[in-house]
Amino acid sequence: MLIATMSASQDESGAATDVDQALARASAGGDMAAFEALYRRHAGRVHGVILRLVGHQHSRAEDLTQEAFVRAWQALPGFRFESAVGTWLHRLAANTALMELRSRRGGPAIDSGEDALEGIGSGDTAGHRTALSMDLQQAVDSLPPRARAVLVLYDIEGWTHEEIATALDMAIGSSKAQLHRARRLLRARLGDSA
Amino acid sequence: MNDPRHDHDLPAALRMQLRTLRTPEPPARELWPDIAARLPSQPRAAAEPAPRRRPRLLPALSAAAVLALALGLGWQLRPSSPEPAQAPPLAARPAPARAAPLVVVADAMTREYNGALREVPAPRPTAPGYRSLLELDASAAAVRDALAQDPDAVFLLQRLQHIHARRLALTRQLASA
Repeated sequence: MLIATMSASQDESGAATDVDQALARASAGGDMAAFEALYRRHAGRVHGVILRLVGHQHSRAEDLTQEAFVRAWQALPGFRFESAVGTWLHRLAANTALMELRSRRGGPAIDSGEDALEGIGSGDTAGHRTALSMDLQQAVDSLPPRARAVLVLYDIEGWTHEEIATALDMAIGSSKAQLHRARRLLRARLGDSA
Repeated sequence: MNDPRHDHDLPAALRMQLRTLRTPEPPARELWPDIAARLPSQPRAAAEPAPRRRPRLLPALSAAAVLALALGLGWQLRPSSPEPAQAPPLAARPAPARAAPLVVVADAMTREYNGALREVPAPRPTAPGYRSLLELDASAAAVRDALAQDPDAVFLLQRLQHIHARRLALTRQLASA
C-alpha cells in the first residue's frame, strides 16, 4: 500500500513544502481559495513574528498581519520559488512590521534612550508589572522599539546583522550597537538574574 | 544564522530562553474575511518569467508537485479538437469553506482536468474500452472521497493525478480510434 511509503517525517516535511508551493502557484494565478489555505497554514508564524516585533500590541499586530498577507497576495505572481514559501512569508511579515517601525522614526522620541523604556512600546499589560515580576517575554516587549526589533530579529528569529541592517535601513555597526544596548537593557529589566 | 561572536554579552541560558520565544502565535480573532475583502482590488506583481536554469528546484519537488506540473503542461500542450466540447463525467467539486490545502489543490487539479477532457470528443458507450473509462471515473471518485476523509494524504493526490492522466489518455485513444 502506498501509505506505507509515506510515513517518514522528512516526507512529511517535503510534502508540506510541496503543498505550500502548489498553493502559492495557485494563489499566484488568482485562486483565492488556495491563498486562504496558505493563510491558514502560516497565519500563526506570520502573526507570531509581527507580535514579537511590536511588543505584543495585539491590535497592531493583527492589522500588520492583514497587511502582510495582502502584500503577499500582491507579490506572489513575482515569487520565484528560490526559497521556501514559509520562509518568504516569514521574511515578508517581519519587513511589514519593520516598515511601520521605520515610518515612525520621525515621530516622537520613541527610542531616544534608556529613559524611554518605561511605558514605551510595551504590551497591552504595560504598567501592571514590575521589573522583578517580569517574565522574559514581557521584558523583551518593554524594550524601546528599535532595540527590541534588533534583539527579536537577532536573538529570537536568528537573523544576521547584515540582514537586520538592510531591513532597518541602518549601518551594520548600528545594528550591533542596538543589540548590545538591547541586551543590557533586557538584563537590567530581568534584574540581571538571567 | 547569526554570529556567535556577538553573543558574549548574553548568558548562554538566556540566549537559549530567547530562542524558545520563537513560537507561532495565531491571531486571537479571525483575520481572513478582512484580508479576503481587500484582495480583489489589489494590484499584483507581474509574473516572473520562468528561469532558464533551475537545477536546485527540481529535486526539492515531490512527485506530487512534479506530476501536477507535468499534467498541467500536458494539458496546456494538448492538440486542439475539431469536435464540440463534451460534458465531463467528473464534475469539479467546489472547495468548501476552509478546505484543507490538499483538497484545494485537488479541486484546482480537477478543474484543469475537466477542462482538458471537454476538448476531447466523447467516446461512444459501445466503444471498446469504454468500461475502463467508467472504472477510472469510479476510482477517481473513491480517491476524492478518501482525500476528504484524510486531507493530508499526499499519496491520494498523487493517485488522483495518475487516474486523471490515465483517463485523459484513454479518452483520447478511444476518440481517435
